[in-house]
Amino acid sequence: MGAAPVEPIPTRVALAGYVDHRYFGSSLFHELLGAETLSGMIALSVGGRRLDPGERATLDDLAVALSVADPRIWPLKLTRLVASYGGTIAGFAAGQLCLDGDFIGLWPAGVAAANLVELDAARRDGGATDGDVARWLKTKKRLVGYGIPFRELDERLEALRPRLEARGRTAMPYWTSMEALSRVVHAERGLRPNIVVAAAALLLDMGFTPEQAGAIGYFLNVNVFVAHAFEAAGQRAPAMRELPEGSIDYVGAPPRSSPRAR
Amino acid sequence: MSEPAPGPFDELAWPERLAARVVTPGARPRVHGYDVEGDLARAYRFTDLVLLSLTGELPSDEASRAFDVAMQFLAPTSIAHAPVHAGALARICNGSPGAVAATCAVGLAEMARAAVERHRSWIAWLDGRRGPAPRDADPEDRASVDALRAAVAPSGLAVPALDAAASRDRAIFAVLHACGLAGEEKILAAVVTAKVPLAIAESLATPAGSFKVYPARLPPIAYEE
Repeated sequence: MGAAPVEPIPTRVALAGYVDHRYFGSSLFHELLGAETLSGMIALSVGGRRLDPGERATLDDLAVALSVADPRIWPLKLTRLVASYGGTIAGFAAGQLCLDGDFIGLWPAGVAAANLVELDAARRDGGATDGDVARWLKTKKRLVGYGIPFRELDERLEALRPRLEARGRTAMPYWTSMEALSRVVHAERGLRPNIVVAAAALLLDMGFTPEQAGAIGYFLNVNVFVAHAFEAAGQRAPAMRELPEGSIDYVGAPPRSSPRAR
Repeated sequence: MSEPAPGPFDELAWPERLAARVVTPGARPRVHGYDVEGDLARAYRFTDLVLLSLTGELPSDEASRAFDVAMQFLAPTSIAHAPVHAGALARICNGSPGAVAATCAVGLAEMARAAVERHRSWIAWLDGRRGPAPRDADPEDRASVDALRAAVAPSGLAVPALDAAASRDRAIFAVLHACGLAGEEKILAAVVTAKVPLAIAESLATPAGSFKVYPARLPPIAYEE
């Protein structure tokens, strides 16, 4: 008996040929090669459209600003722990898994972008004053993209802002909404915006959906994981594989014997 | 040229030591206080160790037997399913055995996460048992549920929620819950633990580098512009 027929699963991504290949509607060798950049390919891969040079340069700026990569940052340390056995790719892959949430990294830019879209709709329905924003804010208990651990301002956003101003990105609608929201969030909750909500606004203003914004933001930050996976795999540091004796406090159940051992 | 400057990881106060809560570090490991090598390994099954690790206590004889049954019901995942299919592809790509195992583990964790999400209201109902059982998200599988009931019966463990379970996953989750695994996290952990060995075995049985005998067009994927 043959296999039950299955409807083909559609893909917009790619088709392999013999002498050329298709990638999101373009010839890989005749239209993309020599014209696209890495950030442009990331945006194309998620959003399905090619960016103009100004947009690509903005994403390049964002990727550089995001490259805060201290090895003690939790997901990066996780990467190094797994890579310490010598596997760059295994370390890299493990480091990605903890980013699948709304707490850390750039994936939460999708949540922040969805909030900005919701705020934008609320402002269109009601008004555009800070009071309207404050009313919308009351519907949100935790607001992704606000709050900066251990410091007053997000230095990544502050460093990026002049570059965005020079490129005209800070006059765009979602960026303007984000700035309005930031004023209100600071007044109401004492929190400042971080790079996550800034990335969300930038990507929305480029026409990406919230889901695409999260994915593009995430991919623009993978270089820091590659850096740590590669270095740690080469080092194979014994102290990463096993912490030194005496550096662990056991706080679980005290020693005991099972009923069958007695 | 700028100079490196200290930051929060250098200047703020951070704990100096890591906490262990289940397994003691060093030689002669203990799990929740029990000596593995001198006690548990001599008198208990591996599934008892798994249940101990997740609940913090050694199971009763009834829960021990019922949990072993549930884990065996959970264990098989065929190559028709994405985690094992992916593991086999990792093997075909000549990935290392470690890469094959990791691929299976990640896929199985995703599969388990989806199952737990699908049965979220059921797990919540098992935890609280208030009101009627929620509607089942999965198709009925009376034969499998009856087989599970028959396999669990000799353990003597009471699993009253089995009467409200018509699908296979629901029934297995009911047994896991009756064994002491409350909440989504512990059920997910048990599901992944049960499924990993057979998924790796099936994947490693696939010949490495066997690109030409792999059905590249199964299932079909069509490019659209």
